[in-house]
Amino acid sequence: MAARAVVRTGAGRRAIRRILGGQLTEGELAALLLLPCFLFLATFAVYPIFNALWTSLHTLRLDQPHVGFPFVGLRNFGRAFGDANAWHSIGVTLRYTVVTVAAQFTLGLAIALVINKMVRGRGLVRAAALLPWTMAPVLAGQMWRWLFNDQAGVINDLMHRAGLTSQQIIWLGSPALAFFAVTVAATWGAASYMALILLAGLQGIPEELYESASLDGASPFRAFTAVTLPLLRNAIMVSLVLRTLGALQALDLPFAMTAGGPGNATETFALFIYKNTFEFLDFGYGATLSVMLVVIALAFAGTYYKVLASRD
Amino acid sequence: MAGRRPLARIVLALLVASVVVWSLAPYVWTIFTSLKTERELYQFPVTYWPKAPSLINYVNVFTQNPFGRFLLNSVIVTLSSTALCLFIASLAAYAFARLRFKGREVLLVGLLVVAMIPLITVIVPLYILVRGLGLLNSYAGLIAPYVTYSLPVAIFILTAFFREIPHELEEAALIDGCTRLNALWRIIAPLAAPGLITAGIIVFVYTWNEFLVALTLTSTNAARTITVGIALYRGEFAFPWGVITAAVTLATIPIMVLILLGQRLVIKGLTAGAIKG
Repeated sequence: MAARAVVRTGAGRRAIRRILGGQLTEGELAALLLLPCFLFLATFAVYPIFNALWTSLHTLRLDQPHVGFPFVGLRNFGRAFGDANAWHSIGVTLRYTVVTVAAQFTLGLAIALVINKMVRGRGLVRAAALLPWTMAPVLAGQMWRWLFNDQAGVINDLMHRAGLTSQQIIWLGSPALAFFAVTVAATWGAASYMALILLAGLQGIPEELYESASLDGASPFRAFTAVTLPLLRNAIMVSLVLRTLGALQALDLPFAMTAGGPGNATETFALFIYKNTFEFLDFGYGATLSVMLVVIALAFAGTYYKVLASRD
Repeated sequence: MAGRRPLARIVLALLVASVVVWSLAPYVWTIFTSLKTERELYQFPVTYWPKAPSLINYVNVFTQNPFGRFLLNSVIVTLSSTALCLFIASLAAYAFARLRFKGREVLLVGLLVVAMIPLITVIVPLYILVRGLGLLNSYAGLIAPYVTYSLPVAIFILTAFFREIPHELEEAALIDGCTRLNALWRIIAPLAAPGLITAGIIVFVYTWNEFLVALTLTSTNAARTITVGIALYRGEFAFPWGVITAAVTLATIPIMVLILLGQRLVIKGLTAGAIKG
């Protein structure tokens, strides 16, 4: 309605003629093209980010509407620092991040090296390796819950047939085993993604470098450490940063696989935030915790950036 | 290199086989499970190839459960979000790839920040905002955030593709009297088709698989997507693994087909989006 009113006025008609007639300056055209993108980002991303910051300084409880929205300063942050459950879940997230990213990287590099050595059928194997990444983490969590099932799960059955165990292991019933099971599922989901980024990096390394290394009498291992790893540095950094940021906010996979249990053994920080927000309806405290998650993520990103910059 | 010595070939073949088994075995087990009857599921010893393959679980997915509705919701939400996101992102990417304007760097950094923000951080304000707009449990309420959070990756991929299109083509069109918008539509868009498909597939996969936003912004079956539907599913008695694995298989098939069709483009997009972003 408003747009139509503008069109009817002389200025609106002139503006539209200029747009259709191509009489805009580059800056004006850019503004026009970026406008829809800007509107979406401003409304559904930038505003929520600042709103989360603002909410983190208030009390907001959906189950106690009479309390209102009082400003409490940094009191929520003080509460978080004294909250043993918050620290526990931060610990789970840090362990989860270190273990899964290290496993994904090691396995991903191995997969990339294997595919890179292939002569025929590379496309098919690459497609197979791509599939785990395409499965929704929440569905992968369901799937792995079934694979790790104590009575009818395939993992227990295979271990039994191989003679490794004499009785059923209750994987998701003990804190250490459940944590292990979740990291296995997470590694399966993202190792192939790492592999594909690293593979693209490997394919960019000129063959001559390996030839001259072997002429110089370098062993394959020496060629790997002297040629492959340094030239792969960018791909390694990118894949590590992306996977680390992903692992720090892990929620879907533990939600579906263990719901954070047994007890809170696999309760990641994101899952803890989710529970505080939507189960205890403590929106203010949830916002505070989620701001802390951003700070942790920024600290990791900053550290990676420093390591990358210092070697240049 | 590896082709010369027989031993090296055998080792490589074994390694390749283990990559394929590691990637596919969990799927295969899931599909096998979905074809078993409830009785065979808990038989001891565990059977692998189903003894009496049956499609009963697939029938149950649609007849006794709302999974058909969830799949339909996922299709509608994902296709609309992907189309809208591609349209908006291609306009922005054209500006980033071709035009000089003030604030370009600031906007790119802004996109990077949005791409980095954990969804759990914005989910509460998003919930309040969408509730305020009266869009809880609606397609639009899901599509708007999905478009927003897919924009950065789509813009990064499309900008990289647009840059590869030779400037001369466009300049020739401009000299021939085309307007810039016309040039974008007639010259750039057709040449950018591979880029649009790449970005489209990646946005499709992210949106189809998204969980947290869909979980938070839906409380009824009206707009609930398949990921949430499966995650929240609880059987009446024992956990109904037959139906769950059938639903997981059905929810994964569209993505698998898409990926197999566009494999090369997807890998290009993953690396372009990752390295240039």
